[in-house]
Amino acid sequence: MRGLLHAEKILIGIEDNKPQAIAAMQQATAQGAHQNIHVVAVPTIYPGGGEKQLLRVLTGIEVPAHQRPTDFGLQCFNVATVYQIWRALARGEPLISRIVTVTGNVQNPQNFEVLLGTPVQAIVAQASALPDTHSYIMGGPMMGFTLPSDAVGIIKSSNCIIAASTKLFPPPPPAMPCIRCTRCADVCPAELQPQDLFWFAQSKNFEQAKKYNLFDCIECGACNYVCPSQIPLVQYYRFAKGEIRTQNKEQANADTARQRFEFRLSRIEREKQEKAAKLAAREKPAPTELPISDKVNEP
Amino acid sequence: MNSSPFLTKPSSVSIIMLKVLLALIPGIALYAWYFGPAILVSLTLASVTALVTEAVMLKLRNRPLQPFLTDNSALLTAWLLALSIPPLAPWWLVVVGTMFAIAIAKQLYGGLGSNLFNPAMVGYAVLIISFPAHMTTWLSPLALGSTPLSFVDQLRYIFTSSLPSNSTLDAITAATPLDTLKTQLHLDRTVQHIFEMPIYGHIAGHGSEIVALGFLIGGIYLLASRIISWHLPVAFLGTLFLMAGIFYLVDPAHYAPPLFHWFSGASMLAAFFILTDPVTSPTTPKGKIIFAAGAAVLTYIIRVFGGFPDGIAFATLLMNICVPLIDAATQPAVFGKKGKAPINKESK
Repeated sequence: MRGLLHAEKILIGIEDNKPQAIAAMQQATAQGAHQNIHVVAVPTIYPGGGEKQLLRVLTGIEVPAHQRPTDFGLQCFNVATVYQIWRALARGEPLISRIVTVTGNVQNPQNFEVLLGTPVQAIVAQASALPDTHSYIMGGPMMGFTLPSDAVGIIKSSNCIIAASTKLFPPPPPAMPCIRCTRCADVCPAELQPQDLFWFAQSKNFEQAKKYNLFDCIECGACNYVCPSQIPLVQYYRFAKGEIRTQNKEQANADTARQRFEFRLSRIEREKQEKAAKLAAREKPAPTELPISDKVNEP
Repeated sequence: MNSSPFLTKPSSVSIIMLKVLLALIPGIALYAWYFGPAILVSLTLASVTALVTEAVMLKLRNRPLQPFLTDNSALLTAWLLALSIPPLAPWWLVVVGTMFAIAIAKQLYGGLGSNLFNPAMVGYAVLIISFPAHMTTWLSPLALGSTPLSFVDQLRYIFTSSLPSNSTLDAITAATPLDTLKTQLHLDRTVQHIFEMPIYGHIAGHGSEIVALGFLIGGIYLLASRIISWHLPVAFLGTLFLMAGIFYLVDPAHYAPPLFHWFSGASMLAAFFILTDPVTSPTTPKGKIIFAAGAAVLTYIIRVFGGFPDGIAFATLLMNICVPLIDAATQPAVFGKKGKAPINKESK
């Protein structure tokens, strides 16, 4: 992989609450063949695992929204991805399984190697989900999504299944008004001003929300987590983004429709003129004829 | 089906406000120690008035009572107002000020989170303009009064304006150290001379400097528990120090030293409790510094050259007006776009 990418330097970031993993990786990379591979302990701060956040911690380079790390000569891989690439390259094995963490409201939280397509219910049965489990979340507690049913299959990106219960994730208390305390701005990894974006989203001032970089929001949920007023901020941002996308789409549709309509008008006009020209050419020998009336040209 | 994030931190507006109230307690305790328990009476009066006014206004506005009465924000407004007005003021002064603060300055603007002006300072401004005489009759420190009032006497005075036969109003009250300094300077005395008067203590007013220290301690607790950020208090006290320092260096006979300004009037209260009201202060770090520095300059000017006993309230209100502008002008750069305009001129 290193050869394929012509990588000059490889950094392996591991959260500093996993000392065993760090020690093991350091030992593995200490051998002669692995120079320029460095294992770096990174602070365990959410959302430190986000690609752009991790790259900043490791390299100090900030990759802006709407740009890719490769634009900056960087390439970031998840550990699971690297593992699968190695299996494909070294052993010629296709991607048919992945490691899934099953946790939450279960008796035996653990990691499983799961064949892709395995229904969620089959693996949570292995971990013995407790009876008051009411739903399952695919992904983490901050950015995951509730599954519509436990018959959903594991896919390539299912890293975690959390059994959810009311006790584990109590519904948040009713939201209070924003008091502009800016705890959200303190924690925002995209360095946005969530309290302003909330205000714009709430008042449906989408133009202003865009100007304040709404689309740089990665929906990590950190603002939502710290909000003392318990405002579902991420939902407001999703709503605003959705509305803006819909507006853009409608605008694009309207533009296309207008273009088509204008083109049709101009085509009709052109055909009219062509017909008129043809008619004129044919009737030229008879100079006594009156100019052609409009009626003749009606299609 | 609910959506992410599924976890939230167990914090609330009411816990934050409660911590701010707690942080006021050292200052209040010292206040009661040095000036007698009258302050506790006005705090109670203001608290009850604030809660009743809030309840009535919420009812009129068809808002739920329970979440907003328990958010502690009305109590905080009440306490800040009660601490800003003379403790021996007649009961109706506290009540009118608090009612105005809650009903007009807070609820009519839309309640918690929507008010443009600091409610307590609006209440103070209304009172000082409408009842200037009552608002400048401050209690002397107990240790200095010839016949200090007992708690019962203080209570009786607050509610009936009657004093015991062996006491006069002049004997138990005085102008504030800030006010006295201003009047005495007009009589062509020097600062050094004036500071020899008994109402002055080590660096500022006798007793009141210790109360200010109490608020400073509470403020440090707020900083340590990350309820407030350092920007506002540091910028406010720093600028006030700088302003006072420049004038003091130029003419020490006619301008009080910077530390006097720190520990006089409501400086400490403003630095940690009044300006730091998140609703009415800027949200950006740079904005907070501009806001607090502006408030400090205005405070100094009003205190030293203006006609009011202290400048905190008007300085705060004037800077409150600028908050939306300051916020818009000081947007920090976002992730990955350092050195670029934080607000997109034309949106994509």
